[in-house]
Amino acid sequence: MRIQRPVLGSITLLVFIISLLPVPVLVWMSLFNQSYLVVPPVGGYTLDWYIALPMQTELFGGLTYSLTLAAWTAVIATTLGVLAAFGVRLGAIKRSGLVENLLTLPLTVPNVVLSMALYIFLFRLGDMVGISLIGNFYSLLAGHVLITLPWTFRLASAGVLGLSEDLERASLNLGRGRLQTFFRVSLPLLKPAVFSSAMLAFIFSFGNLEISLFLVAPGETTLPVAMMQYVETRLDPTVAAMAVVQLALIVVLLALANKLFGFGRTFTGGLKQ
Amino acid sequence: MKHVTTDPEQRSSEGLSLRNLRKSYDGNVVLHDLSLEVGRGKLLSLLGPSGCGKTTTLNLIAGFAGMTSGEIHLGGKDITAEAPNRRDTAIVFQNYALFPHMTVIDNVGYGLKARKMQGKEITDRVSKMLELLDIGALGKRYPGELSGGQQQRVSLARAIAVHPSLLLLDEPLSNLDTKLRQEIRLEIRKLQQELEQTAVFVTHDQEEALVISDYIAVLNKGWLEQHGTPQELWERPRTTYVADFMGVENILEVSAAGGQLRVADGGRNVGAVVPLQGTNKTHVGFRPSNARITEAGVEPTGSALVLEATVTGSAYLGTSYRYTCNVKETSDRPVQVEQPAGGGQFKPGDTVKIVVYPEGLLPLGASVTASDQASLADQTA
Amino acid sequence: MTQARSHSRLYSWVLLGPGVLLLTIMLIIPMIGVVPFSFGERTVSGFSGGGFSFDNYVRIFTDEYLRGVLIRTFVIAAITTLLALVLAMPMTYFISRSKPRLKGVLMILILFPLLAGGVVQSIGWVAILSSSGIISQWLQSAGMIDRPLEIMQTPQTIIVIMALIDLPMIVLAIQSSMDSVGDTTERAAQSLGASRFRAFWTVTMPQIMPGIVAGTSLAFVLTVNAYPTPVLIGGSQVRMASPEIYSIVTRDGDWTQGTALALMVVVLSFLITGVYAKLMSQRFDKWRR
Repeated sequence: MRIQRPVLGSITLLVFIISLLPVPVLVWMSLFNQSYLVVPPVGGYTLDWYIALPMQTELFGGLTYSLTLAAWTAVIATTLGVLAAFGVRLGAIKRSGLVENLLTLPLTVPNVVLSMALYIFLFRLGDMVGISLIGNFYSLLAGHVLITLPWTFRLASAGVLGLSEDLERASLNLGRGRLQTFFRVSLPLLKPAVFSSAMLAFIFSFGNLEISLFLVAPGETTLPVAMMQYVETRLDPTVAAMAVVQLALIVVLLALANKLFGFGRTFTGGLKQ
Repeated sequence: MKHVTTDPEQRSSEGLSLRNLRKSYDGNVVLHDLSLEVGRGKLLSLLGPSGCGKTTTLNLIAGFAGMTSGEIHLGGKDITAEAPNRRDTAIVFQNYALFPHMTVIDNVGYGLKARKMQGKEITDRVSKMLELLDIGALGKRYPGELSGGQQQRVSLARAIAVHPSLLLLDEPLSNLDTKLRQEIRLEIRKLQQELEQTAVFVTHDQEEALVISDYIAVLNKGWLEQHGTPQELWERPRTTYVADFMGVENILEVSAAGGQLRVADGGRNVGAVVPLQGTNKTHVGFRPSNARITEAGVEPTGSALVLEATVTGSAYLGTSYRYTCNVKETSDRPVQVEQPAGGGQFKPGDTVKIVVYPEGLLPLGASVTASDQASLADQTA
Repeated sequence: MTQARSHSRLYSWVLLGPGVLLLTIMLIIPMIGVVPFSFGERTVSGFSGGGFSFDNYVRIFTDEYLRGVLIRTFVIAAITTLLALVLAMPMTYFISRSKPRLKGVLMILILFPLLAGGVVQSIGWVAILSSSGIISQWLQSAGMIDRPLEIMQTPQTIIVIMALIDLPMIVLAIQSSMDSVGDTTERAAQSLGASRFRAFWTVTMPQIMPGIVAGTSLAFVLTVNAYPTPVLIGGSQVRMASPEIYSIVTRDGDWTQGTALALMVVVLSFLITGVYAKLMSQRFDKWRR
């Protein structure tokens, strides 16, 4: 114990430093007072790239579009995840393992493939009914809910399984109906799990590229798609600034979530499989 | 702190010797310079409620936690700086800590393999152990397939198999039901005596400690309250804390003077004089079974402590009645008295006299944490 | 009794309904719908291929380029998973045995790359590792190399970067096992004379096997499916499956070939992880409670 804990700690620290290396590099690069990557920067440092971000129609449009998309995704995926978690706990269904496997399937199917399949499906369905179902916000939303559902379901399940059924039984026994029991007893107790789910769904939706690839409409893309397209031609302080904005947003959300409902604790026990 | 040794043999360097063990977390001292000796082949119980430092002491002995200061010697060797696996101790855990992925045989043989013993030797030792603990038929089973009592036996067999210099038992019986607990603790005691196994047994159960131990050390908030044989602790608890632990339910505050203990002639109690042992006694205690309860008019014969009281409750315990009585004009907790069934019976509301003769009275000092703390701190500083 | 049970079964389905319905309509049906597509013959538009042929599947194995993509994807995924596991084990052990406060902080730090997303992370790595990147420029100006560093677009770099990206997933999966195992069995082993390493290897390790299997399976699948990292780091030199599927469809307009490759990747990765989980579980199922 005396010798090995520091050794393990050093390995952990080293891997942390390496895997987080892109963060300081992006921050540094976004401050270069020149539009190309030469180190050390010849032109000194500036905040101009941040100020000019709203002028970048592609990137900035992607940012606002992704924010809206992520917010709706968080609300819907969390609702569905919490409902499903309660459904599984009721446990009256045979083969609930099958349902759980189904709910985590989007994690294992390549998201590019999922995006393509959805595109083909919606295209043909639209063809049949005579209206275009692709290239709109709703098809994109469906895709994002799909890929965040495994996470919201897992976090909600962990919360729901931690609920003592006796509390609900006590409420029922004291004369409250099932619905009142749900809203007055179960849901308040689940608050941390619900908010953590929503937070995770928001962040994952915000950062996911693959599911959007086939579903975005030209001129109306999500931020990751816009950034991919941008860096295919050039890597400059503008896109670094955009990445930093995205990282900063995540950090603020995490700090907020950690302060308000102990987001870090949600994961201290890892994720139950 | 002075050693409270009652048996010279106990000082044998062959056994376990704890010297001024101190443990603090972030400035909070959880163990105050504990010194104890356990002679070879003897069993010492560390007795106290949770948070008294008994588990901390065990972890220090096993090497799972580092101590702030002090030394541990085992078999004449200083093992203070040794890693847990080089201390030649074996633990039986409260939750047994059996390896779920190994059969009973592999569990019991684990320590022998770690000691690089040969295959044949291991097989022989393991089957001997299984026989010794009466679990020979379970060898091929996995821990998940065993009952709590069987798991306990496997856990014991695994620890004893390595012939450790010191066996550590961390509340090993607390997960078992009462009947099994009584059965296994006798077995542990028998085994320990047959093998002359030096052992430290951690428990919060006074009865368990009395039955199983050669010596008991009572701990209180990291301080050693008293150390001695079970008989000594039962018959002569030195402090109110130990007395409380030893089933002395009635404790009264008293004053002492001139080599005699004097219970003042209070409003409703008759004065009493009791021979005094030791000096700084501030309390007197008696067990429910050592008091007699009589009707208000009856006078006791000879010198005795007499309390006038009102019965507030009674409970039938089979061979005896237990009465709860309020002593008038005191704010002390109610006095408990036990009377053999068959005598006269009292009802709640009856006015009675409670008589305790000197041989039933135990003079007690205040708890170490209350009185001696300051002086001890001075000594160690 | 029977009525109460059928009642709660109804509730169960009402609660599960929306999620299951969404997955059925938006995942199961579309994925099944892709199957006839992949057997279709390519038309001029490339999209709605009628007819039935195995050509697209045959081509995956006969075409040297496509076969290369497929094999490369799975080999890289396997090595990446192994590397991620090797890195994750000491970290998980350290985190698991930390005090609660430190643990919360470490978990957030571990999760951060996962939350940041592959795009941002990969962009950062490009800035660091590319031939005009920071390391290359520094080494050049220090005179240690005289030509730009060419470490991007190599399998090794992809493997290291993707192992770092997979790390959070594996740590999360092993963490739950490690925490539930606790440290008493390990202490028991040590008190019986086993060294720290031996105690971990013979006692803790077998008990956390379910977590390791789950974590490595997930990491493997995620690496097979990866998109932004192979595109940005691998570029045109190290082609992997997901970007290839996207290019076949968007660049060549060949939907039938794209869907065939996609289904092949899905089936293979399910098969591999399925067999792997089965093989591993045979070793620990009998004592698992």
